Amino acid sequence: MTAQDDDALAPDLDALAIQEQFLEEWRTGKRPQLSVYALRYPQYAAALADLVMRLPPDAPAAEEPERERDEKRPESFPERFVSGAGVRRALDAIFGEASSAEPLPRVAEQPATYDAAPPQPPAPPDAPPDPSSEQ
Amino acid sequence: MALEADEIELAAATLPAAATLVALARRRLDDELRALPPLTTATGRRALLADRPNGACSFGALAHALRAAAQAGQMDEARELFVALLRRTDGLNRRWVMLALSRAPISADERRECAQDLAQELTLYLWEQLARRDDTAWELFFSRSLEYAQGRVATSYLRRQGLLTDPRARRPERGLALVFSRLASASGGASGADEIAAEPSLAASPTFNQAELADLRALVARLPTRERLAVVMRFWQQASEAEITVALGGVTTRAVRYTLGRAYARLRAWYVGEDAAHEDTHDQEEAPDDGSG
Repeated sequence: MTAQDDDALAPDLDALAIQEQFLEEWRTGKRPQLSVYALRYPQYAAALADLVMRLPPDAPAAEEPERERDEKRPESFPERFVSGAGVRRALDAIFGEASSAEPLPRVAEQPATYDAAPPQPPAPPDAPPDPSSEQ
Repeated sequence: MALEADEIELAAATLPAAATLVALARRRLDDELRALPPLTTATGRRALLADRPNGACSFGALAHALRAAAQAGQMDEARELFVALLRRTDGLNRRWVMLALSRAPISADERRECAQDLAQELTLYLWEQLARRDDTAWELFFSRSLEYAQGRVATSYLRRQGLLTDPRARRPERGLALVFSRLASASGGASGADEIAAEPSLAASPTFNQAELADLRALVARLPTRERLAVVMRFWQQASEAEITVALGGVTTRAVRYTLGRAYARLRAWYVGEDAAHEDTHDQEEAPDDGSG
């Protein structure tokens, strides 16, 4: 996944605003109708249809991030998300300080491509090539 | 809840333009940021670092403060704010991991490892988006942006690991195959019957588990736009044929039946693996229009 891919796929602010408006109505217990939104915003109707499919039938508050529902914790993620090894590894990569006594091994076959390192100044144009980087 | 044509037009006319909605969101954020104390004060810490919504600032304001700290090089503050944001989205993220891996053909041990990998990837991706870019979508529409980010990270990760499963490749199981079969016969197939029997909400059907619903959503999402809209309106929102005709821009009821019939036939064929006959998912396909509206 590259930054260019992200830009190409990212929804624009108008699309997000319309989806948020739809959700706002839904959260307050109204029954926003896709037909109404499709007529008003035809170019965004398909994205709204995808959103409607993901909404629980009768649980308006379930979409709100602030509300953590009581639920059975999945076997694959027994602890809090933020306490898991994956988040700790990421925080170490971003902030450069170990949050555990021993470094945790990566288990992914391939490392993530997201660039978490701080930006480096460009090398001077006449700098000799670094032999270690050509191996 | 079925609406009459004039009710749909009236309700649509009251919805503001998209640009107005964006401007309103921007104004709300600006007002909040003006009133938000800095992190160095006790009130600011309570507002920015709270785990729970009571007394906490909005996600948009938290994302803004995080970006400002990171871009100013205040990394201790940025870290504190970033962890606060991860804490506040903990439930959503854990649920996302569970759903993302629900169909992966892996053992329990592998699932636990993949879950941590996904958590790592999402955390890195969020940092990249929040701290290093100037995409105001995160400040204005955080929840939507998070959902898109989760979807993107999950798809990318599962594809790289060879774990991205295609619901079309699965054999029919329990409710879905029956439902598709029933819908196709009720609609008279692609030819369009005179009447489509009223159907219960698909999303509310007690026979589906989460994984089946995810399969159903993935299949419906592959439909051409008009078919997808018609199916979602009809079976997620119980819209009448008349309502769908208005929403699709004033087509006839016969055209709506034809559109639904084609969609059902396509969904059923995909689910039982008869892809070849129904791969023409282009949007340009015209439905018959006899003017009977």
